[in-house]
Amino acid sequence: MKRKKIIALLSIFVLILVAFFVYDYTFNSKHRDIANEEATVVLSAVNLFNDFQKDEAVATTKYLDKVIEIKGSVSAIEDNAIVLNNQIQVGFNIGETPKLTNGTALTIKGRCVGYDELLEMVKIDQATVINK
Amino acid sequence: MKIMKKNIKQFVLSLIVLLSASSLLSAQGKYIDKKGKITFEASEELFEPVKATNASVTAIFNSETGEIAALALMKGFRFKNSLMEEHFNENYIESETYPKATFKGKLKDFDFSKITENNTEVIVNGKIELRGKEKEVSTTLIVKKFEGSIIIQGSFKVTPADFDIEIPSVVKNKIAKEIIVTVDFNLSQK
Repeated sequence: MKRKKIIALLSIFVLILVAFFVYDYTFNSKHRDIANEEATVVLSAVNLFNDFQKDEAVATTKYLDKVIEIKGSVSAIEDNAIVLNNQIQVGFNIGETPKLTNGTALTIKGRCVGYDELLEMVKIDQATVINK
Repeated sequence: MKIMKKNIKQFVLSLIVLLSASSLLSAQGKYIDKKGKITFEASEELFEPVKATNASVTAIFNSETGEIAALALMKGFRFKNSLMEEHFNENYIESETYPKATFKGKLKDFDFSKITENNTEVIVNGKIELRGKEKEVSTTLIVKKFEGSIIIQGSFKVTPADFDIEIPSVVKNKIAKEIIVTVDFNLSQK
């Protein structure tokens, strides 16, 4: 009799635990932490831009949502963003924009969001500067 | 020979002057926003909010013709819930295949000289392209000047069916039938 009770209590406990984890996974699962993800592609700003110019659909499957490490030269500074080689717009998380000057050679890591044909630029967000 | 050379030189010079003048002309009245905001909300009461914001929308506005164009990359829409963001991209929008949404339109009877620092209501007519589908939209926008830039704000409604997006029956009552899209642009002269 006692054993049955213990089993019943235990299974209720396990059920509650499972329910909690399912709830937590569904409603509180964390966003990707791009800064701590390993870059899957390493290339220059020029090459990344050229790939999108050549064939946007192919470049999209290749780079979209991937963490990319890009090397380029700073050509414009905006709030929370910089532009590399007039070709790549790099967005930083709010309050994390590094202090830079035009012409600086820079390597960044961020997530590729796609190609913006109005600006004629490839967009990167959640970027961090890589010191090398 | 000498005269010809001089003529060519003059011709080239005047061409340069003409070209630079015309590029100046076309640049005039062109306003751009690289950090425009678009939010959409399809929340149902009692359920978790279905809402996402894209804070890096590109918008270009020509104050002489009233033409306006905007582009939002789908992966730039951020949800509070990461799982919802994943479903949005993978199941509903298919952002790998259709990475962007665009809007091309025109403000009706737009007269830039009548725009002040106070809100002016202007009707916009245009087309949204999303998931390879086009949808005509028309709404009232609020336009005003602010410290040398132009602010354009407004909202309109669309439905998932407008863009052939099927909502599975399991979540049908958690997603609103009509989606409210809000735009907020702060355009400065280029």
